[in-house]
Amino acid sequence: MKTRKTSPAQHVSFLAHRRFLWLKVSGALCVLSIVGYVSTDFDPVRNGGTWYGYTLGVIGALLILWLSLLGARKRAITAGHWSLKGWTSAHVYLGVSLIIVATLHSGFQFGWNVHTLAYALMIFVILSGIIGVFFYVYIPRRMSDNRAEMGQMDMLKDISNLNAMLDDAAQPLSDKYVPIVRKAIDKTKLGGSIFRRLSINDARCSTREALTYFQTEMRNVEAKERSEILDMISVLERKNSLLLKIRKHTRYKALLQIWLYVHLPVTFALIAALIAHIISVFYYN
Amino acid sequence: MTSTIRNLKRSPTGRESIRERDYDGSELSFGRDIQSDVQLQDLSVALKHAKLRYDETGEVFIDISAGQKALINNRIRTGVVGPLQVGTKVKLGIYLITLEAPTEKSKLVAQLEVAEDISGTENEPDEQSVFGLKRALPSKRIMAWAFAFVVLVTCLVLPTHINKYPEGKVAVATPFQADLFWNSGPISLLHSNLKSDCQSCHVKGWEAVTDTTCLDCHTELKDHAKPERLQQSTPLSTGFEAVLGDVSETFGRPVDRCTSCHVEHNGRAHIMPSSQSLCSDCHADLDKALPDTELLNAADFGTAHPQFRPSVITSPSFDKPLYTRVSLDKDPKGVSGLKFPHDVHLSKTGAVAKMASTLDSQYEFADGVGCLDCHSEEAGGALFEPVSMTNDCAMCHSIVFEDDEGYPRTLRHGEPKEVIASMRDFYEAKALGNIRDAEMNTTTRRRPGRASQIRDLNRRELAFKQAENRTIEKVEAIFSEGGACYDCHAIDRPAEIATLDFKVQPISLNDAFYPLSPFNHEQHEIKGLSCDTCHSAETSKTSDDVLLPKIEVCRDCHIGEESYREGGDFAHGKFPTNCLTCHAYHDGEHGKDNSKD
Ligand code: HEM
Ligand code: HEM
Repeated sequence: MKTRKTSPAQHVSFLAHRRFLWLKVSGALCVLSIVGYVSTDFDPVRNGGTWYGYTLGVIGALLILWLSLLGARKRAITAGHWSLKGWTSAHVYLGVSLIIVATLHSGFQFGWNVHTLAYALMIFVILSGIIGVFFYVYIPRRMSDNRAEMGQMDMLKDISNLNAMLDDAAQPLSDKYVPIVRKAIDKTKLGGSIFRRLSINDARCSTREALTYFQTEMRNVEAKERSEILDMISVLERKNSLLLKIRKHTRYKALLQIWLYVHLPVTFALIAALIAHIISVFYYN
Repeated sequence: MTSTIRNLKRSPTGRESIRERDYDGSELSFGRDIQSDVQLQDLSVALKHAKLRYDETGEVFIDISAGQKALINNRIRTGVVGPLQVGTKVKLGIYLITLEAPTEKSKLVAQLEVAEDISGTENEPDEQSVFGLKRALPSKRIMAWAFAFVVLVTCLVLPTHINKYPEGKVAVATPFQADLFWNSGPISLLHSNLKSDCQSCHVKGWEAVTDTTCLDCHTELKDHAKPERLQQSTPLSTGFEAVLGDVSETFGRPVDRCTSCHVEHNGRAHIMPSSQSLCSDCHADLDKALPDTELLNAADFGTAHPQFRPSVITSPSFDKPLYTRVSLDKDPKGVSGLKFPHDVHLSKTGAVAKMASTLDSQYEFADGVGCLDCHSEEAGGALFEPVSMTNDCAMCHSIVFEDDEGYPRTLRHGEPKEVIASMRDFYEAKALGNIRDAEMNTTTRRRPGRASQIRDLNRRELAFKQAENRTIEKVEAIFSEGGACYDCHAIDRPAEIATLDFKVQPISLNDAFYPLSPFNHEQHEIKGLSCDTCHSAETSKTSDDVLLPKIEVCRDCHIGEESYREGGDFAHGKFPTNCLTCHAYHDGEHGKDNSKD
């Protein structure tokens, strides 16, 4: 993956696209749905089975299908009013309006059934979307502050260089120090499981361990080895601060992607549940 | 005494170059230490790792430092190893030392090379695995399809399959009843025996629940009206509603089914719809759709309900009284045939109250006669039992006709023929008793003879004659003013009294003024309400009075659903009612008075 140069403004601008056009459209949809819901006389029951319920249901289902097409749309590049930015803007705002449309459609009747399953999955998708947008707004600035114009490849190259320097600096050291340095070189993990990525905690990082070790060791080291150890400490310090930067970067990158690991798969589950919902209400008519 | 190290290097293109170096002495030290003869720059090598040496006989040995190891001919060794053959391979860290044949100048010749690639490119982490999530999480696409698959199978395929083959292998093998996932809400309490049996109502897939299915169990439901009149009176849906109906039919949901009103799967609340408009849609303007209807238009109870029209008896009869519905506004009279002034009975000061007080100990009449002394509540409390002469009147209105030596003789109520017969029996029996007594007294002093026989005969004849006269007199008395029957009944007197052909005029008590909308008295037993709140019996002088409250009295407390919803002064402090508070739908034809004719 190439490191994309993205300015924060560019990331978030879809929210304000065309002066919040889609926010207005979505707000209007919500208000209309609520007014309709309150003013229609439902007899005898208020739920998806009334004409109004069916109307909201169809609107909701069409919206969901359209929202799901964003993935396909992302892969086709066009510009103008129907730019990807426009799509994303509409996607976000109309997506949120589904909370109102679908809830009114259900007539607030929930239970342990496919209908509520579809609803719950939808809420899940929407919440993950909202979280995603929040990350899009919140993270990019921090991310560029953190890496300060440094590319991802640059970071990895620097780590390799620092490892070579560690190797060099360790050559003259006593045998007892060598395994610690080797561990710092070989066992310093980058990336890793999703939990590691999300926490920047380095308590179990072997570079960090080596650094602490040598810093303590300085107190009882023999005079003749003192300057070698000081060299080692300075290299370890450099590596340690670069690692922190990389871990933060990894965390930001993970946050920017992880919500999509909910958003997209659950969208599929939602569509499946929706199909089951619609078929079931006509099958057991 | 020299030792030689031949240092072999390979360029990236594979070209080899060898540099030889000779050392003085029979020993060569290997290690990371700069002081070593041969410095090995590898962190897996110790500062002082090992020594190669040869002895006087020229045999070569390796001394591995304590705590260190070496791989000699692919075996891990420690301590002193040797003598070593030419060709022996000693591996220290990344370095490989191969023993070569001795030369003239050197007894110990070894080739040194780096045997492992140390360029490090291969353990350099790649960007995608460090920063991308692809390797930290399962693929989005796979998760997406897997989720969708699971949902489709459990929520669509299984339920439909089980519906088609309820006894099939799959149905038996699945531990849960898959079509219950489709249950859109709790079934009504009254149908809860069917709650896991979807197919009892959803008989065929894709087919909306049919009326036949409902009527399979509900066999006793009566038509609300004759079907053709029902249809005629239902307003044709127009405009939007007509379109909705058409759409609904297109999607296989015909309108006007049982389930159009009785919507299931909405818990207890909705299976019995009660909205006013369900009725008023047709009844508000019924006369337009059915010009010949006897029913008056009706809608909201507070504003658009006609005055009550109870069925009152216009012609009493012992077997078939004639009932007519008359509006309370017309001050209807109900002819029961009975003489019964409520006012006299309820007065706290009159003769009735006085008499009652004498019976207090027996009947708790201390404060005079009250409504409940004669009208007793039905079991359940909604209505009242019909007033019965023996139970409710006879305590005061005794129909004793003779006090027979302290033993009161009571007549059988309701059977005038038997009344007359038993009175005659009584007086004739008395006569017989008298004759017998007379004969017993005279036998001792009477001489037998024709004359005395004749006298006896005459006496008997006379006694029976007197008995008959007494009967006539007494019967006439009870059927005449002041007599026990006459008090309450209208009597047809015979032209010739001696025939004793007295007839009690028919009476009929109305025990259901509103047969299809029975009032519930029990629900109205609340503080502040008493019988006279609605029934002005205390001033009623005749039993013909219909003592039912007019609708205005009900409206003091109750108005309709719609007028209640509109609120305002009119609705202030009122209780809303809807049609079903008093009426029912499936209880038979309402178009005519169908309970009594
Ligand atoms: C073409 C689109 C749709 C149709 C025809 C449809 C149809 C229906 C019907 C007929 C009901 C009433 C079921 C009953 O109570 O008997 C219902 C209820 C419901 N629908 Fe839909 N629906 C549609 C779309 C949706 C969507 C998009 C959602 C949300 C993701 C949804 C969620 C629900 C929920 C939660 C209920 C309440 C179920 C209950 O009563 O327990 N529906 N729908
Ligand atoms: C039921 C409603 C929704 C559905 C079905 C839905 C579905 C989708 C799908 C299928 C994608 C494309 C994912 C991909 O292929 O990479 C997507 C992307 C996205 N969704 Fe939603 N979404 C919904 C609601 C929302 C909401 C409410 C928000 C925000 C408030 C949102 C924010 C986003 C964003 C920002 C993206 C773009 C991700 C990117 O391009 O990096 N979505 N959504």
